[in-house]
Amino acid sequence: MTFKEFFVNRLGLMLLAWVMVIIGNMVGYGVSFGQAAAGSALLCAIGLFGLLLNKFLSRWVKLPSMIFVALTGLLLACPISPVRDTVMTLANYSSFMAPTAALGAYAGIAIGKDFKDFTKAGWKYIIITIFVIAGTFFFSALVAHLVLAATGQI
Amino acid sequence: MEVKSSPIKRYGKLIVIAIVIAVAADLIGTININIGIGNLVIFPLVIATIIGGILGPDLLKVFTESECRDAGDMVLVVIAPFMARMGISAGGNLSKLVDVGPALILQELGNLGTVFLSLPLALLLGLGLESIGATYSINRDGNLALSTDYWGPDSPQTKGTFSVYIVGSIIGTIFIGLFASLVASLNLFHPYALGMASGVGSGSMMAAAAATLGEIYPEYAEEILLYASTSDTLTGVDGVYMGTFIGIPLTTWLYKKLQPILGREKKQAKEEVK
Repeated sequence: MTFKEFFVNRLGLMLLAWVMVIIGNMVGYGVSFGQAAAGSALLCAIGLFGLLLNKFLSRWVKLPSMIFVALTGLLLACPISPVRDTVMTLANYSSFMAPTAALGAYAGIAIGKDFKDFTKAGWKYIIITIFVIAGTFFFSALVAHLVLAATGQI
Repeated sequence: MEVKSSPIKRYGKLIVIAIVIAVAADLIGTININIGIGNLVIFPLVIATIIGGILGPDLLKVFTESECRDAGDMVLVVIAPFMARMGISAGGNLSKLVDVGPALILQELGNLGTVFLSLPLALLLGLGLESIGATYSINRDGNLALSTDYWGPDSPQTKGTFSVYIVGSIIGTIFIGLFASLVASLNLFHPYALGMASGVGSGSMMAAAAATLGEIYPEYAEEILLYASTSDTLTGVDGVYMGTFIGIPLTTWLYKKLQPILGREKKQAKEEVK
């Protein structure tokens, strides 16, 4: 896909995503249309910019496009950014969880190909999830305790 | 991908049905089921995922396999504004992180310790490449976006991340509350350390763990909550970068080492991993 085709494709899909995030905000979180539209327009613009930047840079450096999306958001809202206040106000209009129902719908359809396998493996993932959470908590506590002790804070 | 053929024709059905599913899920809202030891939480995302999955070619056959792949493309696009929101929160929180001490920063690396515990377990349970996605992080929102992007929406790794993400969103808050009180009862770690450990990158899990610890150590409750929320913010800021530059490479490397020993299909490991 050439850059131009990629741009057209992603622009189209992002406009649709914009509509879905607006709906998500209004239905799920009672946000007014105006605020939802303005807030999610900014988020979608940043998202699109990140996807395009990654596509453009992918000739030289291979990184997940989410890095560029997250980094763009971070730079726009960081303390030295001149547009920080506007960006944060607009972003706060859109509820954090508003895109997630649409996300779930697409993700569900995407895994629908092997939905039966998915449910069959469920119990394994319950065990793994428990270990992942337990491990994250335990090792963080261990490191924190050792560092606190080493620096004489406890 | 053909862009010139009418996108309305290609994506129309997918989009309309997805909007209907999303609206239905949002209207149902978050479901809390009390099971005695705490609440199972079912978010609209999970409801939407289940409905979407049921409509797929495996069960009700509303969608074809190629539409499933298009849905994968859409996942990546819908997740971008979500990620932008996370990035903005991270930027907004940067000033709060100016004077976090070495313990708070280094315990972030402790989050990776789970790989050495969970990856072997996942392999023993017979998972393949799914095990990498399932165990390289605690699999919260940012990681779901990262995996989808990094390995592609229908890769086994993303399936692993997605599964743990869903299960974690349902049982995570109950489990981490119980586990935090279990670890506290061992008396191994200082309450401050436990507070820092509570910030795993999910606000609701952090709150559950910190609240439990606050009850166990009422005299430290305030500091526990402060450390927990700072650590949680920190994980929100560094999660994507930790995952990309440390978590994924580390877990992939460990998978290549361990898969031939513990994995079910022993020979495949080398050719499979990209």
